[in-house]
Amino acid sequence: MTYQEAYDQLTQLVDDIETEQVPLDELPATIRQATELITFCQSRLRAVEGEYQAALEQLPKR
Amino acid sequence: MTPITLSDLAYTLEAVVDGAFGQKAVWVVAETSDIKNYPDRNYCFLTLVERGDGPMGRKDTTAKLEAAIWRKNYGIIREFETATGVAFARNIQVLLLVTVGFHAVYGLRLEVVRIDHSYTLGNMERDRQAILDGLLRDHPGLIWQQDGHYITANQLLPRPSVWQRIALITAPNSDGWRDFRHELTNNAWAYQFQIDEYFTQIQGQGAERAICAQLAAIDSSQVPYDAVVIVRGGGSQLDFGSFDTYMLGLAVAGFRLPVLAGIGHERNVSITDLLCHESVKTPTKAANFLIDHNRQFEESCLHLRDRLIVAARENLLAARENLDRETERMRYVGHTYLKSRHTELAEMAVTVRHLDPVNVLKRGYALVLKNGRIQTRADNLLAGDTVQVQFASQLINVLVAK
Repeated sequence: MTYQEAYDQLTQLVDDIETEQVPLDELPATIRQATELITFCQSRLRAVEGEYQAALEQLPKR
Repeated sequence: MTPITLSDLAYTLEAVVDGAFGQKAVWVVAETSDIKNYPDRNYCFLTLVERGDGPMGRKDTTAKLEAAIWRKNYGIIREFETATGVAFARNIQVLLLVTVGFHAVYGLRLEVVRIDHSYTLGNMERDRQAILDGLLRDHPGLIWQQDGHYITANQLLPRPSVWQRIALITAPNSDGWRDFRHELTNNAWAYQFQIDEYFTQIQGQGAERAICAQLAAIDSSQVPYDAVVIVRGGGSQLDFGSFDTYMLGLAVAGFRLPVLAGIGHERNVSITDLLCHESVKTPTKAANFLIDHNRQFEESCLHLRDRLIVAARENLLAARENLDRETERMRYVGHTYLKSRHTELAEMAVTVRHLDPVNVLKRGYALVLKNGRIQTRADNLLAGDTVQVQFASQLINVLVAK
């Protein structure tokens, strides 16, 4: 899964909870799924930030 | 008839010439020929000729006289060369102020006292214009005019991002060659250039043929050059004739690679300068033109590099902010969702409580029961029936009177 796919899915879940389209019984599972998506996005973002810093080091100096 | 001595004849001629001209100088239009210049001794002998149209298109000599420029006027040669940019040599059309003298030993001789620069310049300009007109007329696909400027196919060739492989046409061991090489190889940015030299005669009679031959050699070399550079410099400011020729002008205008000229003109713009891709004054400036172009490319790369850093950072920051916002929103909506359910339940409980009959009885109402069943209509009751009335606190038996 890409960062964007995870992020879009997360946004959809939060929208669903916000508009109360999630049945109460399914709320814990939905929250768990959203939390997993946030964890995934966080780690992907950190990895990209690391790669970005490493790429910056490779750029020719002025 | 009594013969006279040669000297008598000579003196007679001298008297006739002197009588006709005296010290009066005359302006003469002529063409130079056979110049014997002695700069060390500050005098110059030259032959002046006039040519007319002969049979078969030949030019026949119609007049020919010897002339001299003596020490007291010798400076006019330098003045002429400085003003016209042309070496005082044979085959130049000149307008001269001369005195006419006859010497018993040296014969008839003209003494040149002034040279009219503007006449020669005007002639050169006319010749030059005639060549340009001829090129425009004969090769409209390669050379044309737009808003008073000459446009050529060579000028419209696209420039590469950077100049790297250079075919250099120059004279071996010339100052121009050294200046160009030095400037290019010692550039401040340490850019690397591949310079292939195509040495040739670069000035003087017939130089245009030699230069065109080197252009043809470059064309057939199969080397993917980025540009051809023609440089000339260091020496005399004169002798640019080959750069004002139809042959070289045409070769440059139609050449398939951009031609850069740095041929050391301080005053004039030659036909080659007009028709080539880019013209600069000196070989050093030609090298700088290439270096500056490459520097511009590097500057644009560095600018892109800076934009890349900023854009990437902003992108990551935005992603971070979006994710933080969604995380916070998830917490909030989960909380709100549960709170709403609690509220719903609480409202429901209130409603249910209100509907409980016990609570109704407490507010002062009572239930009428007959045989344990709630009676909602009075017509079901008859006089003498015993019914039960249920209050909130107790149940009593009641006899129906009517």
